[in-house]
Amino acid sequence: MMSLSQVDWSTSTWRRAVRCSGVHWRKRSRGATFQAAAENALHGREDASLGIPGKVAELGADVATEAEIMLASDQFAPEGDLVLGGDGAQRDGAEVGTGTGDAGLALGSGGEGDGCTPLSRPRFTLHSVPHTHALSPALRWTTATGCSSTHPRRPSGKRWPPASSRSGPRRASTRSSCAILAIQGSRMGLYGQLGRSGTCVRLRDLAAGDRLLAFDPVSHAGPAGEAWYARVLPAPLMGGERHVAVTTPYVLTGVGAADAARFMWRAATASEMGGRLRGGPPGSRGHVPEVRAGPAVLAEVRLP
Amino acid sequence: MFLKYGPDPLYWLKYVSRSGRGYQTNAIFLAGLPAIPARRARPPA
Repeated sequence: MMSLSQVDWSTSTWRRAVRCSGVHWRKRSRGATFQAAAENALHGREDASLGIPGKVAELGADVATEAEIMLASDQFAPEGDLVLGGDGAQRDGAEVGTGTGDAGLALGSGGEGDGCTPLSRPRFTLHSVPHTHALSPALRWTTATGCSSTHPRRPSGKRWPPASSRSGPRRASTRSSCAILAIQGSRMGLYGQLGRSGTCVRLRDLAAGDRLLAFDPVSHAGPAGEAWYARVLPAPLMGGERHVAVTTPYVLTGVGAADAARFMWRAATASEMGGRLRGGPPGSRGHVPEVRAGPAVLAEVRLP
Repeated sequence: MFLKYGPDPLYWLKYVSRSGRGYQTNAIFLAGLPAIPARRARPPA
């Protein structure tokens, strides 16, 4: 069994790709940033890249808990590649990633990708972070290195990263922390698919009511009105409008967007009656904060 | 938090694993929606 702390974090390892359940972020140059990588991904360029530093090994060890994590995607992870994904579950006797819950890293083992078992469980155990303050070790570590993971964007007119953090590990830490934080700060959601727009898909967040334009790397061309269960990251570029759907979408069969919206509303209502969200932080009893849309969305998502 | 963790940590994992009905290269198909947690009476103040 191989753990992250045993990975050889040599330069060559550092250059290995990160695959994010369909979106490939591959390190291209030392100056690459998460934003640049994401921008490349948004424009469909193969060299979209993101470096992963050796410090991630320590990060992984710091946040180690009991949960394993895998990747759910049609993409396979070449041996040695790092994968950023969500929690995993058993399906058809195999451990597969679902993209739900917390984010974490995995190590690829190679093999053909068929959406089932892209990673090798026997060689590697990955631990995800369990709850709301999951990445506090990462935040503390990032703060300690002087890199701001909450403001990763290049300030206009200034060199970035700042000179004080331009050494390898610190610079790398910003990128990895941004990627991990972006995923960890996201959640799965129920979306109504409103149609495609080029390489993007127009979605309606059935909980929040927001309309999104999301880059869809797997280009699922389903009909408008489908209900998706997917993980959509916020727009990686400041002021950008295109979000990134990082998971292969779960398409709800036999369920329309209106049904999914009704489900969210009923779930919120049930919770308001006193159900406690045990997975949430203290004080989460009695409401579902993501559900802001209410019945108005239900009326709007009734598509032909 | 409901969409991220659900009423319990395995809520969404169970849903995905139990309702899977197949996949293709760019989509995974699920049948139905997860069960909604039962309503509980509001505890007396």
